[in-house]
Amino acid sequence: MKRMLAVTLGILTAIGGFVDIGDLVANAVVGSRFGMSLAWVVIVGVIGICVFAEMSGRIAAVSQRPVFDLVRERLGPRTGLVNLVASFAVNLLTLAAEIGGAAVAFELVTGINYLLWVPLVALMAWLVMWRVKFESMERVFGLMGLALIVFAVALWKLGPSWGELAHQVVHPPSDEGVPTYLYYAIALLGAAMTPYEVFFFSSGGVEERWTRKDLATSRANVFVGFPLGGFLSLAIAACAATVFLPVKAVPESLAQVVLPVGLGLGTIGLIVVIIGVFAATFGATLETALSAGYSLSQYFGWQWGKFVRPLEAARFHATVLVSMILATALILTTIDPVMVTEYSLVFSAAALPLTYLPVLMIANDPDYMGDKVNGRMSNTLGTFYMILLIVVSIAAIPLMLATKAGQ
Amino acid sequence: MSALPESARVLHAHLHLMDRQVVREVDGRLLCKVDDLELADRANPYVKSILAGPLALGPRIGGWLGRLMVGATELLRPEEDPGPYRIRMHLVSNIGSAITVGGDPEPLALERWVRDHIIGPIPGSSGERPGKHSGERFDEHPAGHPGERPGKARPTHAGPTRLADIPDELRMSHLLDRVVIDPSGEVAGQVADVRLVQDGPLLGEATQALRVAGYIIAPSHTGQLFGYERARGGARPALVSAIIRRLHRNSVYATHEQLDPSTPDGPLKLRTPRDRLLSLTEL
Amino acid sequence: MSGVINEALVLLRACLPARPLLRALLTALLTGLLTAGCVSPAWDQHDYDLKAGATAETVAANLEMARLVVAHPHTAAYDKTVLTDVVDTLSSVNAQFGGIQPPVEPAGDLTDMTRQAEDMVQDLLFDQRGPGIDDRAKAAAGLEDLAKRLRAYAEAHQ
Repeated sequence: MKRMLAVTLGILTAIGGFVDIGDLVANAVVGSRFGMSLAWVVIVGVIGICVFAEMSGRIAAVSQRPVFDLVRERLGPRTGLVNLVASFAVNLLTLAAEIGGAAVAFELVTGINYLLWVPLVALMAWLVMWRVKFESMERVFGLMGLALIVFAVALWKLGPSWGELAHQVVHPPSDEGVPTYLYYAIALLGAAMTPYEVFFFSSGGVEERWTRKDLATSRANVFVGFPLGGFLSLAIAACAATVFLPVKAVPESLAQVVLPVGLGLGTIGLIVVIIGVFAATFGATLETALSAGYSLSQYFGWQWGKFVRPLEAARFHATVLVSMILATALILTTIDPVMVTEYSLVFSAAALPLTYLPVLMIANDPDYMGDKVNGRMSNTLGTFYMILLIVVSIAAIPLMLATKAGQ
Repeated sequence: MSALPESARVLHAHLHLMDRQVVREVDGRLLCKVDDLELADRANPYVKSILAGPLALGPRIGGWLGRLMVGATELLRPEEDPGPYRIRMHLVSNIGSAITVGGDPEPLALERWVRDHIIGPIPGSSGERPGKHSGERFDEHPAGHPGERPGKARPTHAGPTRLADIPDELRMSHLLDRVVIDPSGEVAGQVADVRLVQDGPLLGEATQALRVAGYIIAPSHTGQLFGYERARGGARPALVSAIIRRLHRNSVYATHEQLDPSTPDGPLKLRTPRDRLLSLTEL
Repeated sequence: MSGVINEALVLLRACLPARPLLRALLTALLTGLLTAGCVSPAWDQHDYDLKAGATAETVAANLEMARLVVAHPHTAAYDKTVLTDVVDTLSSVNAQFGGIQPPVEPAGDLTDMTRQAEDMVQDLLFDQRGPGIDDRAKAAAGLEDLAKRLRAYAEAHQ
């Protein structure tokens, strides 16, 4: 039973971190424009996040050092600062988008404009971070986020032509250009491997006081949670490919993203999916806001975490508070949350190598890891992903400019 | 750590000390990063204390941002001559994935200010159930720390010495950046890391100081070493390892005695020509 | 505008590490950020046609979205939100396309269709908010028909 509950950390990170507003939007847009032809990117992304989350979880369990600690330690103060600024900016954008997403979930239920819900959502999220224990926080939203499984149920109910979906996997539609295809591939990879996921996952391991004994828990979290998130991503894309692709409609808001569930399962399904969207975006609001605090505190060596009283981690809590205020202000400018999401995905793809390189290095350092250093498999995969991420980060911004952000 | 019984422990300043997390031993609280190290004794330098906080980090970041960090801190700190936060090396009880320090060092100035002025006044900040907390909230002591008074200088610190009062050559960050020249005057490379051996003078009662034993000199602009050049066995990502080794194939090691100590400023001067130094691969 | 961008780049350079790759990466990132919001004018007739085709496609896609909701109603709050999103998109598309200076002649028939699309969905939204949409089948058919015509226009201007 205890083990079961521990795995919820993985599920929360998977639902709230893997499936957050970024994945909801990216997968629905990609499904409606490219069918299942980018499914391979989701799989590549899931394996990638598994490889690096496993390493960072192992580092956290063995040495109690979370990821941004290592970024500063291995990259030094200057390059580390560049990484900090980039990650922090992406984190703030993502946080703004998540707050917007959770507010939209309220709008879908009440019909009252989401902007009126934004301050309420932000206040709720802050109160949860201020008062609720880390474990309870992750369990509640992790389990609620499981409601997103209705995407898979809806897909089955919609009764798509499975042969057609399978055909799409290897046949990209001919009316979309190659640069656009690659641009969305990068956005999907950015959605799957968002850096805050490892910040949060490794810091969460320290928050839960993992030790070597918890290595099995850490692995279970990674290998159950993230593939589950990947499965949901594929279900979202397949729903969009079934409903939107034939009529050439492209979802441009969260309300439209969940429409296939409504068509497949009726109003009940729609309500369940809205609950799931709320849990995923609200959970991710907590994760990104805490990650903002984690990354800044860990760079400067401040006391951080919810495992001490707020008084004893004053700078950490102040950072979280200021991040919440900034992100709320950003989303209150009436900027479109979906647009913010799309940009944050590409920028996060561009910043990926700076975060993952130190993880790969420390996971091989016997000073930190003792006998738990990387095996051959982790290193081969890790090196492959480093090369891939460097290519992606170089290509991301030029592709965004060339395709005018995928239009 | 692998400390052979008969030989003194060997560490590398950049790899093992700089930028590591400092943890308070008594309760595991995170204090600061090793933003810099202060050395003592020019002839036979050894590590005297850990320097931390914006006043120590700013100069390492450099540029206008670094100056801004230092300037803003000097402006905001109440003392007349604020110095960087320092922890004497004899308090260090363990050097591992984090640096553990004993004694009772207080949190940094910014933490205390934010605690007293921003986080403390918010209800619930002391972690009690709402409605239960009484008047004593943010001015109470962290658990297990009776007697701590925020805002008061602690006796474990030697009074505030401005960073500017520490000569450049007695700051590790300065040593780590320096250019090294041959006796002929040609550039031999840059100090990539400083090798420390724990056989220096006694600090406190029982700990010996980490003495500067030598310098790893890398050709300019090869980047950091990441410890990969010292890799012996073990599974490492072959590609990363190969790239770093290739970059550092021309790196050499010079003992402290092989350098001319009479050059406090500017490049460090070698007494022995570069090509007669030990190559890193032979070390 | 470019002056400001240059200033910002110079300022950024000053605080970047002396590593050329990183510096290039960050500069690219900042440039992308600063130029992403700029709208480009139409250079010639061909370019204008391309933009017209893309506009027709976007409007058609949004009409299809509206049709899906009109044909399969859920809760009033949900339907209203989707239709509001569609109206917002259509009006911004109309404003954007109307703002492009045509090099020779404006695409009058396209503008007629996109305006009509906006009006149709706007009317449906009014009904949705008020008494409710009475003949959903008819409304859906109307949306579908207009979407078809827009897609035909887009095909012709690719």
